[in-house]
Amino acid sequence: MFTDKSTRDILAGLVFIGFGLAFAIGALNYDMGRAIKMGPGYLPMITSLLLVGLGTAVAVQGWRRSETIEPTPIPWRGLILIVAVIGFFGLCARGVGLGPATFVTAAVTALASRHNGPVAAIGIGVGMAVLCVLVFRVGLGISIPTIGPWFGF
Amino acid sequence: MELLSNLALGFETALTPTNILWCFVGTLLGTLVGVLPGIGPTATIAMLLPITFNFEPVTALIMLAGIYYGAQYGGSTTAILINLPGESSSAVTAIDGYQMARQGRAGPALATAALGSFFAGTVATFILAVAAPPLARAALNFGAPEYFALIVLGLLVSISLAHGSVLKALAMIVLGLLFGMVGQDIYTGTPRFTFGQPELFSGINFVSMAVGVFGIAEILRNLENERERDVMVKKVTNLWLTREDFRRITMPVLRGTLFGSLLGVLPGGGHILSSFASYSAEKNLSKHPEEFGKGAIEGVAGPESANNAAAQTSFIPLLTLGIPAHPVMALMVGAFIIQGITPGPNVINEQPALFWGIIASMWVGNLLLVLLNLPLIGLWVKLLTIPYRVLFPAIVVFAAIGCYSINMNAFDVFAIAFFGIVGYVLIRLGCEPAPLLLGFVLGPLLEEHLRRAMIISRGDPTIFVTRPISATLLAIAVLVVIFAMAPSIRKKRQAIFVEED
Repeated sequence: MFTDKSTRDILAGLVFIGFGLAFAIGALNYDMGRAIKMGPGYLPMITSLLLVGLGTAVAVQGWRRSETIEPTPIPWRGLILIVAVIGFFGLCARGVGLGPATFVTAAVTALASRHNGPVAAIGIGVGMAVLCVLVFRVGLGISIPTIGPWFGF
Repeated sequence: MELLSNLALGFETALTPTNILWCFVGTLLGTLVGVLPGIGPTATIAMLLPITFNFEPVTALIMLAGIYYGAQYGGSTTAILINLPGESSSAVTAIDGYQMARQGRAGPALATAALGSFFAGTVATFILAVAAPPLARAALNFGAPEYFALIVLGLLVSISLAHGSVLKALAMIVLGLLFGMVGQDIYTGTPRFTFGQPELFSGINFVSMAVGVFGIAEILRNLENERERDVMVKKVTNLWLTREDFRRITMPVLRGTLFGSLLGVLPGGGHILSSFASYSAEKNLSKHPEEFGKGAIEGVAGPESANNAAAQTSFIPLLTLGIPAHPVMALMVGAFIIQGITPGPNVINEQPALFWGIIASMWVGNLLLVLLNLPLIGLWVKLLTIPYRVLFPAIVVFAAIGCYSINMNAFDVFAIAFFGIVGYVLIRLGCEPAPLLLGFVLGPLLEEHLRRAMIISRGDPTIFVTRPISATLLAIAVLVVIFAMAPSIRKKRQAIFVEED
């Protein structure tokens, strides 16, 4: 795909500007101090304004630059599944225990690939659960129980 | 003969059964992740960092270092056998190594890589042992302004070696600095950018960040278009080199070792740069430059020696100054801090056994790698056939368990997902993740030294240019940026020339 502007650069610039502004607004809450005795807000403010500046420069550069890129699809399915499953692990690992948490995490993550069907996913889940219980619980003595208290024993 | 007694102390430390065992585990794991696609040493060390909590400091660092240089080794195996460099520094090896494999000379190619790496590793370890003490002594005279200048230099050099846009790399560093400011302010204790979350008071967990940006983001990137890999060479036979091969690789190995040892000290990616430099040097010096790209054994020997030498000498800035040269070294800083040791010039005096033990273990590790790689090559070839669809769920699971086990804290796990998404978006937009992590790790140090310097100078910023060492370092930093900008100027000029044609 040929474009007369580099969309990637413009978007990257906007992301940087966004982060810079967010940090700058946050930094307003802290005491700036003066150069001789900088307060907690001094450097964050300068740094976030610097990021806004750099973001603007990246975007401007992108506006002037043409580029050819092969568009690749965003793996929405993988993105959503992996984020969800990491959230699940954080919330429930202690409650359900290492074995079940690993099983669910591995099985659901496996489904992010189009090459994995439900059977393969369950297989990967069981395999990883056994492996992780052996390595982390038996081998390294991690303090998450194998089967968690939510199962009632 | 201070050096000899130091090395003796080092080997005494490195050759205890426990340390040999973990050095072996480290190099084994390193080779493994070097061979496997989609996971590199950065993510691996990040995930394994929590496990090393219970180790002795020296054992933990020996193992983590082993993962790093082991991965350099494993990366070249995939480069030669399937034309897919496991690590970016092996990209050059793939050019001629894969051609050799196609001509049925995979064995000699692998042996060349192994022997060249071993030689380079030995020399570079020795250089490290010779160069580190005087550097550390010099660094003891550094005050806050010098450290500030040094960190600025480290950050800016890292962008000059990154490929792609200099502006984007700069922005990534600054974004990293900002993420590094999250948490309590060091001087006043004011919580910054914490949204009132007590988990954030001690800052963002850098393991979560490293795993997110280098592990999860990479998986998402790979899921964009899934391809399975073809392993062409199913069996490797005839590992030994002929007399003619030995003659051909001697000089390239020596030159590669020299390039690697020198360039490895540079922050930001000296190992990648050195393998490219070595390859082009060999091609220019060769009497048969036309053989390059068609299976020239020199094209494997030089770059492989260079990247392994660089992997060893890149420990110099870390061990003497406490400044990490690239993301893996940044994780090593984390490993030091977890063990209650502040990396820097004091380590060599306060923890001589640790310091020399790590250095000696690198030589032991290099020897283990040769033993591990050549006879077991069949095993590594088999591992190449593990499909990615089985591999990436394992990475996600290890990442989650690893981060959770640091503080038994759900927040650290959510941070993986957050940085996975941020990292993926930025990588997709053509930004490199390494400067982000470097900025994040060096940010707090930068702020501490800057603020201390300003207190010393009573708010006068000229302190950085009136003190000779800091002025020199900052001048080098400026030069580095100018040089980094230069290629894009050159490219622009080329574009103009093309239009004129």
